[in-house]
Amino acid sequence: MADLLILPVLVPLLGGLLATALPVRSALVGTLAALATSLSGLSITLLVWLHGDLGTVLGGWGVPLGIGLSADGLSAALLAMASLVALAISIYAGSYFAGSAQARHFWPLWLLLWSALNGVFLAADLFNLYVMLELLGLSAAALGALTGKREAIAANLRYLLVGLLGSLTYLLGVALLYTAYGTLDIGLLGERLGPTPIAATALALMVSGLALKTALFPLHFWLPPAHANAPAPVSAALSALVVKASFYLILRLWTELFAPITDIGAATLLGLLGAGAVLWGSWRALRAQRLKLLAAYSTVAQIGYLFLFFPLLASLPPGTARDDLFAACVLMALTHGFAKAGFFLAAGLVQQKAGHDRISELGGVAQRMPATTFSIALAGSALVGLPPSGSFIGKWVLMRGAFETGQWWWLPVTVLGTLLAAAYVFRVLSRAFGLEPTPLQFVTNARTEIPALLLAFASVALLGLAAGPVWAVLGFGAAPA
Amino acid sequence: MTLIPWLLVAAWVWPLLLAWPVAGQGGSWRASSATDGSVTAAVSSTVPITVPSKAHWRGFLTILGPLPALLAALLLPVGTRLELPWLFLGTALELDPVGQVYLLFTALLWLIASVYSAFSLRTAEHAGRFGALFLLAMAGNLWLIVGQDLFSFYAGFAMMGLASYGLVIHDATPSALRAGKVYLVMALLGEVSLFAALVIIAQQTGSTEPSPDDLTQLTALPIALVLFGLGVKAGLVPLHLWLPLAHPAAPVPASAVLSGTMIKVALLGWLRFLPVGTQALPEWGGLLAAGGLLTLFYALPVGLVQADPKAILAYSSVSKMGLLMLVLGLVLMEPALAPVGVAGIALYAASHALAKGGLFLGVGLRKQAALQPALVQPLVLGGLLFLALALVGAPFTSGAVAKYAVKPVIEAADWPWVAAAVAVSTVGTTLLMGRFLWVSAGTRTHSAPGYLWPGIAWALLIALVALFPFVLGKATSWATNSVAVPLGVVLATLVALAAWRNPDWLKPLIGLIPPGDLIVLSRPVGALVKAFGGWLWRPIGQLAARIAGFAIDRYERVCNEPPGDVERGLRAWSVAGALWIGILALLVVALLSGEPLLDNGEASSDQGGIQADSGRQAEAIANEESSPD
Amino acid sequence: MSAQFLYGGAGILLFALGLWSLLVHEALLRKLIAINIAGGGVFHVFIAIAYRGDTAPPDPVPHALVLTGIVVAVSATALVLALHRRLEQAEEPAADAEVLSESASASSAAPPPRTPAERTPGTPHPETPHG
Repeated sequence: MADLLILPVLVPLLGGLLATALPVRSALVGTLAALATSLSGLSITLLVWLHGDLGTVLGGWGVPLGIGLSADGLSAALLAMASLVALAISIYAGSYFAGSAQARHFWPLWLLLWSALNGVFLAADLFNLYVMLELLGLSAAALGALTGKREAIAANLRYLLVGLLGSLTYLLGVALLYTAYGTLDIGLLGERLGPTPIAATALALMVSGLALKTALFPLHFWLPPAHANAPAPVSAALSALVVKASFYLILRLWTELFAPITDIGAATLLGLLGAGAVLWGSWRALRAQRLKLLAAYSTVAQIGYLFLFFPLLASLPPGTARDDLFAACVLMALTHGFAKAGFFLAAGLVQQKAGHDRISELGGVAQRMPATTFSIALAGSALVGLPPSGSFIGKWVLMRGAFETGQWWWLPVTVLGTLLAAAYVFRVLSRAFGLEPTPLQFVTNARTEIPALLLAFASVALLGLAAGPVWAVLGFGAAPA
Repeated sequence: MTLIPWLLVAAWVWPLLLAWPVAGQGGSWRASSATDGSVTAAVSSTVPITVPSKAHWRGFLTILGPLPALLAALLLPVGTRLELPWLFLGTALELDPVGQVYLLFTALLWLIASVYSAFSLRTAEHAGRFGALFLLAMAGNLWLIVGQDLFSFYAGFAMMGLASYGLVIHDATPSALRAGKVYLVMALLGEVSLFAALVIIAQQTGSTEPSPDDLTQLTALPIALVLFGLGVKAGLVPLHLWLPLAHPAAPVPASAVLSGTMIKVALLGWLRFLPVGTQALPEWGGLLAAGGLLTLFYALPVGLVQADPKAILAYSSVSKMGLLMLVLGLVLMEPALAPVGVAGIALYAASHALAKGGLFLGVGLRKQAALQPALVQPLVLGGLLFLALALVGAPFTSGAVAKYAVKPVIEAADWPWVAAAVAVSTVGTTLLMGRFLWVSAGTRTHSAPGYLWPGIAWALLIALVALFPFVLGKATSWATNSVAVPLGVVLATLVALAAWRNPDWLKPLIGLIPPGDLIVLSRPVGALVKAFGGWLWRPIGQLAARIAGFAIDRYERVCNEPPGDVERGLRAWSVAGALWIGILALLVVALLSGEPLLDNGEASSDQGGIQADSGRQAEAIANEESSPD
Repeated sequence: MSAQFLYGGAGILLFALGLWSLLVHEALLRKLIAINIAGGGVFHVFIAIAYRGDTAPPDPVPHALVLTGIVVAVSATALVLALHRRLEQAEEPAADAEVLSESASASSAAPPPRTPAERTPGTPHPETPHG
């Protein structure tokens, strides 16, 4: 059963190879591979949910040499989100790139990216994580530059270099850990790690490298141009999934592997950077003139919220309250994945129809595409954190945690960020009210509009109304009362 | 049997479900808009074809929306409870006594307003969008009434408030868009502070469904936040600014529910989240009562000088909410009054909701109902007169019964002059309604088809208002206000006679204070203060300007960035790299200097640092053993 | 032991030098070389770790890691070079400032046919190496 763990990595890899070999049929091959990958990812999640953690070592080599894969609640939750979001992106891309030469390059790269993404979620040792991270960064930058536009290439070249620097720094941290503890397996390391200077330095190196890749304020400088200039399905994947991979790793390292050496001071530093991200990202989103740039800055802000959880997690002893906070953090990451993917996909449709994405001139187009506008509204309400979206619950638990731990200063940050988010979302939505006529049908192009709509709907209804399963997958008790 | 409590779910889920098909009706009423969107866009925007017969059947689904809620209010016994722990972090739905009254009048008014909207707006632009948002607001309103936990209240409140934004700006006129902007900003401020308040309440009481006894543990912060957050919705002066702008801007059926039911939820929220009847809060109660009095008396004169009948009604709503806040404030000061006071507030809210909703719908009928037969318009005016009398609380109307219900609280107040003030306000309200009738009588009618059924529904509403005192009130209550209202009527008649004799007499006053009073008035005041201050502080101002100019100049020289791209400096590799290295260094310092939270005791000291080598060798040995050679 | 420290220290020094060069120099090729040097530094550290005394054979695991790392580094270098070439070929040479200029309409939606763009001779490229 645990051998199934290889499938979410292997299936897209093979699909990518096949799509490279059959460029004419790449869309068909790609869609089928996407379906299979998604199914394998979801089945892993189901297995973890039913039977608990899974682990396997490939090729019958021992733990230190063989490539180990493992899945626990955290990886299963993110794997499920990635499977659903990536499947929706694939279906959308099939129609979006139809008849375009870009499709031939898109499918192999996209499947490679997906494979690396699943690899990050499932890898059980620090070096394999490095390889997967690099693969992820390389395929993401190549995808982002797919349009061949100057600004897109320049932005993604920067993204690529930043990503390389981040990975190298991470690798240096890994080297330090191997010097001190002689293993790279996360499980074995967890047993041996203690509060030593070398471990602390390794953690600082790894986290700062990953923070660069996850665009934590003020290291987010590469993100808005790279995400805003990519084709819509790629923007969605970059913002919803790729950034989450390095965040997932930070969360895992900080709260599990390095739990013995993390302390409240360093966590507060991360929280402060997160607060800066929330305020600055939301403010820039409010000032953005273009829809996709707005979405990209909103990603910066949403990543900031995730880091606000760190100081709270650091000051709570293990127990229900801490579990709730951890689950809420994951829930916010998942919700953002769905919402931002839906938002970008819908924004891409608007852009395709209007020929531009300047917010001030979108009125008529927004009214001619009711389903797309509705997707933006739904995804936007999840970004704001309106009930019943998952981020509402996340913010609820975050604010309660801030009160419980006496760190009330995170409260105004959250409140202000929420207000700014509401302002930028409604700035877009108010364009949809006007006297331009609306079309006969609600949905005008099912193959592209339905995936966006479903993603946005999932972020609001699925994750909010039934947050219980997230707690269950993570192995915690009932959702907080 | 067991299925019946599910009506509590159906009450708000049903309108949500209906929103989908209703949204789908789009612009289908246009005979020509069958094929290409862009072509018909040009055609139909220049030639608006109104073909009532083409109205889509989906538009009528709106009418079905409030029915489950109405059934729930009528059929379910008080105390019916349904717990859904799997839903949304645990949801509890219950019909408590106040909730039942609220559910009844809310569902009734939404029903009549939806009949009105289904028939009057079915041929309008974007009927589908309006219908869907109407249903969303309805669902939110009903959800927060039946939901007993904090989440349900907030979710319903937010859904209702934000969907109403779409209703307010539906007409997309510049004034509507401006009203919508003010509405949105204030509503969001209110919602965010309510959210913070509810988080703190949950944290301090340890429960998401706090009982009145739990609420006695609250500190000042959540109480202040609740008062502020819901005060925006209630129109507490000076948080009322959005109300006289938004209520007139919205289409008629939306105004009716905005003014009739939606602002009342603030009172419901206060009754649920403040320790009403369990703890005396003299300061907060006094504050709310004083705010209520201010609201009550502030809105009356401002309303009197309005020219738009809907703006007059909006100010009247503000004033009436002031009265209710006064009563609630008195109850908060003296918990012993709670049983009487809470029942009185619920009754008063019901009476006002029905009368005010009816008045708004009547304004729409007055403007648009058919001129033929000639009897219709006089009947509409007659209905408006009756509703206005009910609103001011003339004897033998619903208003009198409601007033009688809150009277004990007002009379028991520590401040003896409160009763006199309220009597004066009744006279004032009578004058305000006189003004309203005067303006309505002069309204020019643009008749439009399709107002038969709205008219019938409106007549039913009037019948309900007429029956109200005889069903719910005791005979002793019928004669309330027998002095104040006739006095007001006499005064109003005198003024009206004078104005009729000499039409120019009152002209200068009309429109003196525009709707949205403070926002508009603050502009000249601001300019005045600025001018005066500029004169007084010119030297200092010049200095400040020079310093600012210097700073800006320096800043621009340093960053050398075009406007609109503030991040350009950040994207420079050297800046970003320096920041990154700084963060790395800070992290190292923090991690090295900090006290680790979880001290792993022996396990870590065993294996740390120096002894790592042995661990590695053990590992290598294990390696060789397991390798397959 | 001292040789091990020498190797490790040199690796960290190389990493720092590479990092410095990456941040300070504007030209893309220099950045690329810098990042490769930084990577080489990290690999150096790994090689130093593998040393287990004069008698014992070196630890094979870091060697495997370095080999994998080199493969990754080579592909990353290739991608950077390929993108750089595309950048040079891309139409309308524009200053870096306009990458994100808000008014620029980035209609990446409808993929246009790639024009085999010719680089205007004589226009200095902001990111081509000058020295």
